[in-house]
Amino acid sequence: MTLSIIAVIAVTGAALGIGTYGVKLARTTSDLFVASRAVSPWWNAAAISGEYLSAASFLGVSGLMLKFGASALWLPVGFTAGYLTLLLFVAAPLRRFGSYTIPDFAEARLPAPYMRLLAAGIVLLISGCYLVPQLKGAGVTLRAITDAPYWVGVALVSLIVALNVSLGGMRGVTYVQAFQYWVKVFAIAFPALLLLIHLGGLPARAALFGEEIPRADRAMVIELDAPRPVTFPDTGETRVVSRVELARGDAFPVAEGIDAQTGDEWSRPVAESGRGSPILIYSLLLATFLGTMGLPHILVRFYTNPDGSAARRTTVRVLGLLGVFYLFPAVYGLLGRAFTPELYVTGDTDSVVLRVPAAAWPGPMGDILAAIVAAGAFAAFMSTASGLLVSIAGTVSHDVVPGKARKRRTRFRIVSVVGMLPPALLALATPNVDISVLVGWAFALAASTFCPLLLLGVWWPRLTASGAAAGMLAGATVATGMIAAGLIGDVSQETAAGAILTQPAAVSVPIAFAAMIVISLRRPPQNVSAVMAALHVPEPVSP
Amino acid sequence: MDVLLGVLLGVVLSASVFAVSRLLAPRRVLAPGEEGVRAALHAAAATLPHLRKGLTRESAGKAIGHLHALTQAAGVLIDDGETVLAADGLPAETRHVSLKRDCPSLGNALDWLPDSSRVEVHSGPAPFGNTVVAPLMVGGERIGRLAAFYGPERRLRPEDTRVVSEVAALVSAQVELSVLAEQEERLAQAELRALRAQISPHFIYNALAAVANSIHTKPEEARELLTEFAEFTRYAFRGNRSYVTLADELHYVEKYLRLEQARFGDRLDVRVSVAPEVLTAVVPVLSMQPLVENAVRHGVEKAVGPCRVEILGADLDTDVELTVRDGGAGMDAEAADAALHGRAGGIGLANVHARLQSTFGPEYGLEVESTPGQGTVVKMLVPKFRAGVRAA
Repeated sequence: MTLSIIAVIAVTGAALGIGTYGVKLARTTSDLFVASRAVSPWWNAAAISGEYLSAASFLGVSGLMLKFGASALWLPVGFTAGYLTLLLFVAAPLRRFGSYTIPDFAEARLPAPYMRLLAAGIVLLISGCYLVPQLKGAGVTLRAITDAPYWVGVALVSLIVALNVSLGGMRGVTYVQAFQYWVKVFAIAFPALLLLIHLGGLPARAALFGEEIPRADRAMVIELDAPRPVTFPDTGETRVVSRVELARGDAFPVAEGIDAQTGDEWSRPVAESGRGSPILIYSLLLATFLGTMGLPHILVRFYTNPDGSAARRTTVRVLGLLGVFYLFPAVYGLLGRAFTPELYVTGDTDSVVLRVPAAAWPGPMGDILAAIVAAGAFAAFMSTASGLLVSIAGTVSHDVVPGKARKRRTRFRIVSVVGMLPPALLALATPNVDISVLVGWAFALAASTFCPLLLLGVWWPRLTASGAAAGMLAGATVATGMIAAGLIGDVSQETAAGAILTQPAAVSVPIAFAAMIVISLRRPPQNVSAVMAALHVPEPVSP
Repeated sequence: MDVLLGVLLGVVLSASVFAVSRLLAPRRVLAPGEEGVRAALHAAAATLPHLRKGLTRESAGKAIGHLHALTQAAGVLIDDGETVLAADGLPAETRHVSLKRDCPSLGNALDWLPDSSRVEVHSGPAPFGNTVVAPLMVGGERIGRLAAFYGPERRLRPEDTRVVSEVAALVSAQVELSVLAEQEERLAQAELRALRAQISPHFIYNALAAVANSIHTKPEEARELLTEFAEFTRYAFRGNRSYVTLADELHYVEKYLRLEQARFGDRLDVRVSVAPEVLTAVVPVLSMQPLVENAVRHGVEKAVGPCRVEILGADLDTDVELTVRDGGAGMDAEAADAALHGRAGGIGLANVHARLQSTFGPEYGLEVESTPGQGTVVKMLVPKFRAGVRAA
């Protein structure tokens, strides 16, 4: 416990310190120049991966895997494969074009005054949506290591990130972000590998792969923070309890929204219905494949590449770096089912990564590993939350409120404090929604707004401003409408209908593309040959 | 059921947004006369962007359809006095081809068109019939003709002549604007050339002297310096590019400073600290170099003892701030303002400032902070991206 707290404080302190002093270190300072040397694709790729690996990757994937089984592993597949579409269709043309943000691209590609404002609005929507799960990760982590109530972590981290960004720390310095990637990989891989070595491989439990549901291996008592309905799989009855007593061999009851699955069901990536149903998987894959290119804090990083081919090289390296990272959440999911099945009772599956080390290796070594993981989780959501808040504040102070460039600093500061409020409140309002599901919404929004804008904007000369605006509005309203309907209707994920409401990309993305194409075809496009040339003509060989 | 609910909600939401946007901009119902005015205005406005690029086969081809609608003649044609640039309308009854498709072979068939600097009415051969020809005048010179054909059957009315001459005036005015824009462009080029010419003879003399100094004692270094000198002058004097990446500009600033250091030795202490994230920003060519040259000239040449010149590049998210600082004599605010607006003899700072502002808008450009005895700080603010500004 104390070790974890110390580790978290150290990481937070280091992050703040790097923000203030590291900026100077990370610059090439020299008596004479090495300054005009560009950032290499490896550094850039590590920086992009560092910015990208958020609470959803660090905590959410393992949590969702524990909860629903191997079908949750489609999520990291999509998270990584999104860079493939980015690589194939967007990275190089966008870098050649030179635009720094999506509002810049939208306004330059489709010269209409409202395009910038509309794109800026959607940037705010997506960033806000993506911030919520980061703050949720903070609440979960702090609760897991200190037993503080959920809201304490959310409030504390919101405050730290907002103050830090507004005071100018944690800026998007490439070398700092690249370093963050290696911190996160170490924090998730090192404990996982040591645990596997200590255990001598994966525990051979029937609940993992066989025909068994998780059963208590000793008598235990599980306290719930409030009376909740739990279902006892042996009898099939559901009772509202605040404390569960289990004898050796009793099956673990499950909280609301979780199914008691046998090991066989749990380890199968595709199922007939529910979380593993093909419709939900396809919807999720569509959202992540196409949504990655629309994440504002990621696209900004591609600006640092000197040219289009460097942008491509960077993206290939990102694919590799993310692939390495995503090997490990699955390890925590498997170990969690063997060692921390009490999370099925509490429903707090998002904290599995934090609880596994101490449960699987009791004693000081487990505590040390738990501290490393907790520190990594903190690094994950602190850096992503900062990146998102910077893009929110930058968008508001640059695109939404026009004004003098030199006054922008002040506006940026105010917005970065105020802009943190809505996501923080949303995070407090949705304590029971999984981190990965929340992130899925941000991806769905990006996939049904910016993805069609970028894909058609780059590759289809006939796209018009009114078409793009209509498509983005249609995609955004359908996606948010369905998510809201799912939330208000409180649907179960077990039905296909509920599944599509929790992940609306399969519906909203085609609608957005269709609206964009149909409305664009109604009018002839402006003269776009110069813009298309800027996007597609390769750079001349530099002198 | 739930899917239906969600889809329905989404569709209803998007439909209502669409409806609201339609309601906010209602389609206006015009009286017939107003409708005519509107159509004419639309046709006139539509020609503007094309013709502002000058009178070429391409721009005329794009504008001719609108001009046709504007004159309401059976066919129209634009030429540059010798060859036909574009034509539209007038299906030729005899040959079943339109004027447009037959454009290149029209040259000889149109020899009968009157060649004059006034609006003339003429009656042409079979398919063309009654014709109004108006000259296109730019700067008092005739650059082409606009001809409107009304067919043999229709009698010409006085309005026809007036409409055609007005349309010709509209075309002339637009083409004249294009000439103005061209002149403005040429002026900017001339200013850049002036800046290049300003790279002082002193610098060239001093650089060569520094090379000469070391040619016997350190021949290797002298050779390197000469190479740097050659590369720098090629960059500075090469005419055809207007914008470069900041990385490129800094690369040549480095070569320039290498030469200055050969001359001043330890007296010139250069510090550079540039965030690598900003190196891809696009700046006008020779925008940093004059600032650095100024810093060296004011900071080192006029001072005794060692002197530091600092070049800093900061990432301000959407903008880039470059700072050049020298520890020289400095100046008062009035002199700094004069330097920025070109009233202090040289045109270096003023030229860079003007080019930055005309490229990126009034909120960008240079800022000079200086106090006597404290040195001078010049700050340059540029955006990370501006549509249409690309490094060549």
